[in-house]
This record gives sequence, structure tokens and C-alpha cells, in this order.
Amino acid sequence: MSNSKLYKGSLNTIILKLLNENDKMYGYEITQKVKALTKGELNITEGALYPALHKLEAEGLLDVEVAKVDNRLRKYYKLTETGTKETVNKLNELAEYIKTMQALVKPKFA
Amino acid sequence: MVRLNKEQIQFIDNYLENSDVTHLDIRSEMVDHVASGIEEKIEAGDTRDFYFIFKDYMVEHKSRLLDNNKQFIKSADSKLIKLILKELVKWPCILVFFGLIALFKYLNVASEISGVKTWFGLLPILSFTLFGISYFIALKYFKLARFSSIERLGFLFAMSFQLFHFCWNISHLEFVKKFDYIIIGLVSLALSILLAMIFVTINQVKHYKIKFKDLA
Repeated sequence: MSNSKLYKGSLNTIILKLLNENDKMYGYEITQKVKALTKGELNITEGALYPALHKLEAEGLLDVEVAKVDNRLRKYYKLTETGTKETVNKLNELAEYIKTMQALVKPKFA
Repeated sequence: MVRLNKEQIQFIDNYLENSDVTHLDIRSEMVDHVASGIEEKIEAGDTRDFYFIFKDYMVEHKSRLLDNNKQFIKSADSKLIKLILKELVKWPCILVFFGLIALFKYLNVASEISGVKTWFGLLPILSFTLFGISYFIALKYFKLARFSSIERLGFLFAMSFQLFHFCWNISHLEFVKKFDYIIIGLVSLALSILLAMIFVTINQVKHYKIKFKDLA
């Protein structure tokens, strides 16, 4: 992941947000979607993505669905009810964080 | 759209299995990820043979994929512990816990702990042995897929045996004998944990049967 230290803390929020906008997604699809949305700026590696997905699943925020696609099994992730609520909280937290950072980096002078 | 054929998918699966990614619940996800990556390369214009593209892909991604495997096992452990604790505070386990305390007190087992040892001391090792034998048969003769949570539960069953062992080891201590509720409480708790683990095992088997129904 580029600028990994800055993006790492927001990975869960990114995943939750994407799943909130798409009914269900599989791991590789998430990495490609992020790459496309950020025009290649953010590249989520499998080493960061899957542990995050499994953690969110263990916390009950995501549910999985396994389907046979193109000669192989594909694991789809989707938000649970708790996950949908948590997405709203996480996005609010992130918006607050961005606001605070903007105030710090670009302070408005009276 | 380029799609890998069955043999190529099987090749990736075998490679990962031989790289110690033994559990199907994580391996299937990795196979899909690697296959999707290779398909993307082919679509982008890589005309080389599948095996060369695969080799290059693995050189770049293997360490991260294997690290992901380790993380998955950790995540499975923490998920199982949470599930066992959840099960433990549900009414069947609570009922069994207090029922056992009442039964042991009624039978006055703390003062006759050696008699209890013979019977209840065998329970965890017996269940663990049965679990082990059935799992061995399932893998060796029926070639069933291995799932992380089920195998990690085997480890937790082994740990629960140590809890019983601990109860028996402290049972002869003088200060413990004075407070027979300590032994009764610990044995009842150990048996309730065992029951919670049996419930979790059943639920996990059901979970895998539903989620991996397309495996057949």
C-alpha cells in the first residue's frame, strides 16, 4: 500500500464504505476497485486486505458467502446489520479526522 | 474475458497446499486471488505460458500470501474464543454449571475426589481421542477438506484437558480440601466449557456446511 502509515488506519473504513456501496465484493475486486477509484495511488496488498477482512468478519461486521465461479470457489463479503451501522460511525469518525487534520495543516487565520 | 481452466486452478491449489496453506477456507480465497491476478496479467497482454506468469506472480506475492495464512489462523483462534465465551453465558451452559455444582455437592464429591477422578477425569481425554480418531479417518480415508476453525477447536479441546488436569492436581492440597466449593466450582466450570466447545463445534460444522455447499 502506498503511504502505508497514513492509509493503514483507514483501511477498515475503506472496506466498509465499498461494501456499503456494493452489495457484495470479493477480495481481489476490492483491491482493483480501490486502485481504480484512486487512479492507482492506493494499492492495497493481500497482506493488508485479507487480515482486515477476516478481523471484520470475526467482529461480526461482515458476513461471507462462498460461490463457485470460473472453476474455483470465491468468497464474497457483505455487510451485516451491525456492519452497516458501524460504517456510518467509521465514516463520521474519518470525516472528523480529516476536518481536524485540515485545520492543523491549513489553519485559517483571522 | 480470460479465464483459467480447471487444471490451472488445480495447479495453484496444489502449490498453495504444498506451501502449508492446508485449510480450505483460507486456501480457496488465496487461489481465487492468485487466479484473478494471473487472469488480469493475461488480459493486459502477457502472452507467456501460464506457468511462467504464475512463477513471476508467486515470486512477487508469495511471502504476503503466506503471512496472510498465519494471520488467518490467529483470527480464527480469537473468533473461536469469543464464540465459546458467548456460548458459556447462554442458559444451557449456565444451567449445566449450577446443576453440576448442586449435583457434586449432593454427592459430596469433594471429599471423595478420587472416585470422581476415575469418571470425570476420563471425559476430556475420551472426547479428545474420539475427536482425533474421527478427524484422522475423515482426512485419511474420506479425503475431506480441512477447515481452520475445526482444527483449531481440536487445539482448544486439548487445552481443556489441561484444565481438568489442573483441577486434579490441586485437589489433594490441604487448603483446597477445606474449601470444597473451589474444586466443585472448577470442575463444574471445566465441564461447562467443554459443553460450550461442543456447541461451538456443532455450529462451526453447520456453518462450513452452509458456506461451502458449492464444494461438492
